[in-house]
Amino acid sequence: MINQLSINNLTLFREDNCVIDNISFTVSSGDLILIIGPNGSGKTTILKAVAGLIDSEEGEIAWNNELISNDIQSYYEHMTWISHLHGFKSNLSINDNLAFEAALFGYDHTDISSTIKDLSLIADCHKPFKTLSAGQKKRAALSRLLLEKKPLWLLDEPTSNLDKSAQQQLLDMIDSHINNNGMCIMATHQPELFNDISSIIELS
Amino acid sequence: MNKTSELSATKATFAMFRRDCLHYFHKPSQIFNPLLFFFMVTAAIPFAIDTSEFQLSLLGPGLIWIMAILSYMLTLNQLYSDDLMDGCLDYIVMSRQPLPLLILAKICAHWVASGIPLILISPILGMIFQMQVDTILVMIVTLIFGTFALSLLGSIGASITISINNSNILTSLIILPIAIPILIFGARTIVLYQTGISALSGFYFLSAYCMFALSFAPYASASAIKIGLD
Amino acid sequence: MWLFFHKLASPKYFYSIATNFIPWLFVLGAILMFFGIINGLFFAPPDYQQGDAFRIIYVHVPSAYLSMMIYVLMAITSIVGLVWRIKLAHAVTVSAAPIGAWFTLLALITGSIWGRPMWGTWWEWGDPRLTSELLMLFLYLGYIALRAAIPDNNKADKLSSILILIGAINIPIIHFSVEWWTSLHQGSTLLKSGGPAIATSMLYPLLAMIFGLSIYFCGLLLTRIKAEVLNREKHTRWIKEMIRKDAK
Repeated sequence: MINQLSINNLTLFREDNCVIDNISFTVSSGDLILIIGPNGSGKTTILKAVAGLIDSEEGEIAWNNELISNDIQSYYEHMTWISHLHGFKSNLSINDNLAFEAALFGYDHTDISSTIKDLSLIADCHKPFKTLSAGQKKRAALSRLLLEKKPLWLLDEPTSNLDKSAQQQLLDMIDSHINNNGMCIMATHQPELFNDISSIIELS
Repeated sequence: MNKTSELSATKATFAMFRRDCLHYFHKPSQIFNPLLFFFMVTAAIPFAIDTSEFQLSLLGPGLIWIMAILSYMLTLNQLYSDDLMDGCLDYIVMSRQPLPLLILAKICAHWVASGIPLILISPILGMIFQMQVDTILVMIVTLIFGTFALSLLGSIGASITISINNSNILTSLIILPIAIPILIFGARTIVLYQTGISALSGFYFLSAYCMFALSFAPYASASAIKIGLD
Repeated sequence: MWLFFHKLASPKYFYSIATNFIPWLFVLGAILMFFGIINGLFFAPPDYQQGDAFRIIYVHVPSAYLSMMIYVLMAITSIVGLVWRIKLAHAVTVSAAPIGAWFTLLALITGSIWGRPMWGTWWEWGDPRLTSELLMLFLYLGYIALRAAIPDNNKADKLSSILILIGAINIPIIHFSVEWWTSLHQGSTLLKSGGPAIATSMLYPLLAMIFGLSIYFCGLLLTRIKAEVLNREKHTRWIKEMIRKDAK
């Protein structure tokens, strides 16, 4: 299933300053797009706009030629968003957190246990989330990618806090996703880690 | 691939309610501090005013109600601030479940965590103010509807101010004008009962206001959250 | 006709129309108010019950009326701004708020001054109309406080519009409070079935004051909107052109 995401003339403001001015690009199945740039250049802002979390002043984002603003709920069904915040309640365990998200997003419970095992979190999945290390928290956040199995991945600095082996695991995940006709837009400070990049957007 | 057939809005709503209750349960200070505040300031009132029995029981309902509203206002920001800070709010918005329903679940959890404890210690304060037992019962009923209505209205205020830091005062400020009728009807119902007139008329207004708030608060909060998500 | 309204949504067009209208509005408003004040203070006969004290009606009623009308205006422009996303509508809402707050305060103060000889008290806490008008003042102030607290103009516009719409329930409460509950405040005088319950010699100055103050308000509002538009559009070319032309 070939999907296409097109961004046309996107202009975004943050606190009355223009951070993104008239950007256009297209992403198709099998594409890996990296967004690079210094801190504050608008990488997170543009990702959030593509994720449908921020309204854009001007410009359009269309998924398979349908404007996402027309039916944002069905757009959400095709995409997974991973921000630099982990999105888990710190007092609850990973299991409790994912059980809650399962009710919201419809994961299968067997999927949850196998994903936790794959990401080497099984030893700590019953402990309160706040007791985990930064790397473990990041891996838990990334588990959503495996659980949701959506074609479009929007990742905000996914490699931060990951050690070498976890980084490699993430790279493998992205590679297999791209090879299975998925698409991925990622903001990162480490573009050199990735192969098979379709294009790089550099913000200043 | 797409397991939406297993998704049910009811299941999601209950899961949200359960998660928020668990969350509040794990953070007891968030519940106890406002409660303690409520108790302390209300119990301190007799130190400041004439403590004749008649005076206290006349003023009691109004004073307890005012203090209840003020302490309740302190708890409102908890509704969304935690979820915003750890990134959960993004996922709640993107969850493909009706957002107003999830918000209603959050409001109910907030009421269970903040409103019910407040209602439970109000009889003690009622006794401090020399109120009769039946008056205290009326007060409890008004507080049940009143605190729930406050949770509803407060969620609108909290959702409008999510992107502002330290917004406790601002949230209370923007909600108080529309929360005043709750105070008026809540306190007046008890006073009416005390003076022998039926409490029903005031109670009808109070419950009607509560239902009215129920009809629009989740939607207003949902819109405000979607706008305020940074 | 619709084209006029459509073009009005453009800040630049609105700015030039406003500049032309404002002097006329102020002049007309001043004339009507002058007529109203002179007639009301000197030529209208004293009330059989209240004597000369009733003359404060010529300030109190117009300001109370305007305090509510301005809120209704803000509610309408909030809806226009939220639903049709017209930025200028938000500019109108922002500009109207402080004026509305002042008129509400004026209504409360003049009402209180009037109440002292009439009802024997400066304020009556049980009175539904007084209370709801006071709540209206708090709603205005809450709106102003909220706008000031949010740095992002776009978000501030939308969130405070939601707040205005939530508070709009207060308007029918104020208006119908004298009918629904027992109140010290008298009932409707002008908009009654059977015609106004007031002598024409007193009525005409009152109408003149109401219209005059409303027209004056329009002039004031347009002036404020102009300032707001200048602030919002300061990066655009037409503003820079205008400044350059004015500087010559």
